[in-house]
Amino acid sequence: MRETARTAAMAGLGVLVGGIALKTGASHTVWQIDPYKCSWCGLCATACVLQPSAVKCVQIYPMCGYCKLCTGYFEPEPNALNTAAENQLCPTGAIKRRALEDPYFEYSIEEELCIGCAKCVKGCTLFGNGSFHLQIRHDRCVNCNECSIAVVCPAQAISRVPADQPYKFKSREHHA
Amino acid sequence: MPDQPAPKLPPLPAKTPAPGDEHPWKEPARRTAWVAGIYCAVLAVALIFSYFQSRQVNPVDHPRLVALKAALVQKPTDENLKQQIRELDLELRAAYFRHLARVQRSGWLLLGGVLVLLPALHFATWRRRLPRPGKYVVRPDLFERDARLSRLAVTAVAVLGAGLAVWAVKSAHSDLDVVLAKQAAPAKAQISPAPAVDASFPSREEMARHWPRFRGPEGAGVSPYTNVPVRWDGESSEGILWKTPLPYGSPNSPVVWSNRVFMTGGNSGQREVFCVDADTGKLLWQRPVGKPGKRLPPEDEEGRFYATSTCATDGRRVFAIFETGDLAAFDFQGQPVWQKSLGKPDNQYGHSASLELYKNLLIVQWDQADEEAGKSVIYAFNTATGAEVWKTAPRPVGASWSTPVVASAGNRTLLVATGNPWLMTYDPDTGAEVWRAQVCHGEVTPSPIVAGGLVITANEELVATKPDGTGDVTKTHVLWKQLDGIPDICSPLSDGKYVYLLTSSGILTVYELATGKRQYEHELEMEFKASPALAAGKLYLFGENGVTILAAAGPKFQELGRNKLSDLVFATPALMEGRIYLRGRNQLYCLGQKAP
Ligand code: SF4
Ligand code: SF4
Ligand code: SF4
Repeated sequence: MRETARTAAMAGLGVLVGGIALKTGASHTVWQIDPYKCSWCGLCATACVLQPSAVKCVQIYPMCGYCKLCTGYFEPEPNALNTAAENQLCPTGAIKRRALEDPYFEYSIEEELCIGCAKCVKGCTLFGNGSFHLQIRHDRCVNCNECSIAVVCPAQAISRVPADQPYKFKSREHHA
Repeated sequence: MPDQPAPKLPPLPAKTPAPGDEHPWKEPARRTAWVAGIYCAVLAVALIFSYFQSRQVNPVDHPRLVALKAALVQKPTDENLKQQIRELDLELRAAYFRHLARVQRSGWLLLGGVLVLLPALHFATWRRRLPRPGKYVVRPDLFERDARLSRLAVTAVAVLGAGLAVWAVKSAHSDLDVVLAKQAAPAKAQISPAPAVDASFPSREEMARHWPRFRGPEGAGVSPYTNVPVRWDGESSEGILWKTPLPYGSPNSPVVWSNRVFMTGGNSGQREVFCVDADTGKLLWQRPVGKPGKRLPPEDEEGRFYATSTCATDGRRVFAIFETGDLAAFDFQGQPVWQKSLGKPDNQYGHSASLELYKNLLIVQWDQADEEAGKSVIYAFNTATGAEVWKTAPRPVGASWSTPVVASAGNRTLLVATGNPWLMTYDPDTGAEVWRAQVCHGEVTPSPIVAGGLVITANEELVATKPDGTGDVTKTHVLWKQLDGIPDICSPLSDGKYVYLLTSSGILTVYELATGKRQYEHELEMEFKASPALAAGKLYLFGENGVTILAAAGPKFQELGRNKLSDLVFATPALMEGRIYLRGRNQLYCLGQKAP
């Protein structure tokens, strides 16, 4: 019985320690989206094991045109170029727009609200400069063994990348 | 075989548990198991129900919303349709985020239920186990001891596991907090146990000798000193007493009291108040405010400003507020006096109104969301304890970025605050409204001033309002209005005779205060973010590129000189006796002549 108790205790500890080590140290790769492959299908919002998804939209400011008519922000035929809900593309109001100097506006993403639906990404990539794109945010992602979005991604845009370069941001250079 | 009577069976024993299967916890455990089981089942059903319900509030492509938007394309001017879309949009978003919060909460509740259910089931189905053969046959006394030890070991591992779980939960932050904070009323003030503090406060005369807040005494941008520096040069360091690198490039302005200069700074992850020795430029202390968060990657932070509100000091303490809703007071040694959180405001560009002081009150204009939301208020907190002294009725304005002023106007003292669309004044002792005028428009950023017995506002139109009314004075007390040269960022300035307006694109427009008659307009061909200031009859216009233009106050433009620093300037400097404290993007400069 004493053996059993000791074995139980050791095994319990072992599992705990092992689990922690695995979570903190052992993973040398993480999942990431290649923004140049992404086809804005919208599955990122629903397929992730997390709700809201670990996939968020990011804005690459140096690529952005700061346009007044932002095709990532506005509905395709906006009623007016203002912030009212009927004109906004983002279903959760996650994109914030700030007037700089006329006619320039800065668009930023409030990550807490973003659900990764890619509506803005599609608008910005098809008709704008493509500065909005999706990335798996590693402060949220739990790094599943098999990313449940990667499984369904029609463009096969998600792959494992080295943990020390966890993001695949777009860049102006690459884009041009 | 002769019939035999059926063998008599022994009567069935009453249904009692076999001896030895009794456990004192068995009955309570069975009841607990029932309760916990039902609890878990109900929660599970609720979760499943909530899941199916949530599909109806899916904000991404809700059929009604899509239909309404399509209808709007047909009838693009239908205000009613627009209103419907706005309402439905808000409703869907709120419902969706509420659903997420609910799922998260029920998940934890369910876990709690399961944690009760499992041990209860264990004891409810308890049976005595027979001692194992082996050494216990020889030493039966060892059995009890070993059993105790093994129970102890299991408990220890469980406690360890629970501890780790609690730690993991605490260290993970919920991404829903922000959304929910927006919906919930701002967290009630938590007043930390106050050590004995100096509850005295400065007189208005004492305040006027220092630069206690954004744009100095009464927020007017006017220095009472006549020996404010007029010449300096960044290249030769002539006219620069000292300069000191700053920990943050935030755009808030320095405030000065005696030999202390206070500023705040921050980035996406943290916020700080810091104090510089006004005579030497030495950074004396630097204190964090609020809970630090994870910093955004530099490319996400680039080009954004954090810590935009200017702090305030009453000569005893320094007060600072940040866009996160953290409000804090430190004494001059950097010891925290009190801290509290007003909750993150719903403000699309981030809160940027600066603080005002009146007697022992710290005044916080807390405008947010839109006019209808009823979330905008002004608070007054006790400067010594942080306790709320008064709060105005909900203000009928949306988010604003201008700073309130308390000033004497006519024969009374008014708290003047602008928002879209109302200029409102309050009794600064009680927070009761005195009068309002509908004269503000757009994104209200330039702050109001009181000059020559008039309240001046410049928010898409320049308006002079007489301060002696009550109620809605829009039709009765507006003296004059003008539309040209209205600034978008810089606040108006007045010497009591003229009103000076400076746009961020560098157009200086001057009006006569009494009549509203335009005097001149002059293009400076530079960009401006800092508000203009005045000392000894000279206008100080601080260009964003580090060039300061000095011009004569009065009805004609006359340039008196230009001074250059190679730094970017966003903050309005402090004009003090013989010195200017000018905050650049990288350094704090003390301008002045060295004593011979
Ligand atoms: S469409 Fe894209 S590139 Fe254009 S302003 Fe919007 S985010 Fe920037
Ligand atoms: S449109 Fe979708 S992906 Fe873009 S910011 Fe909004 S929620 Fe995120
Ligand atoms: S690895 Fe898991 S948590 Fe991360 S994005 Fe993929 S499904 Fe979501």
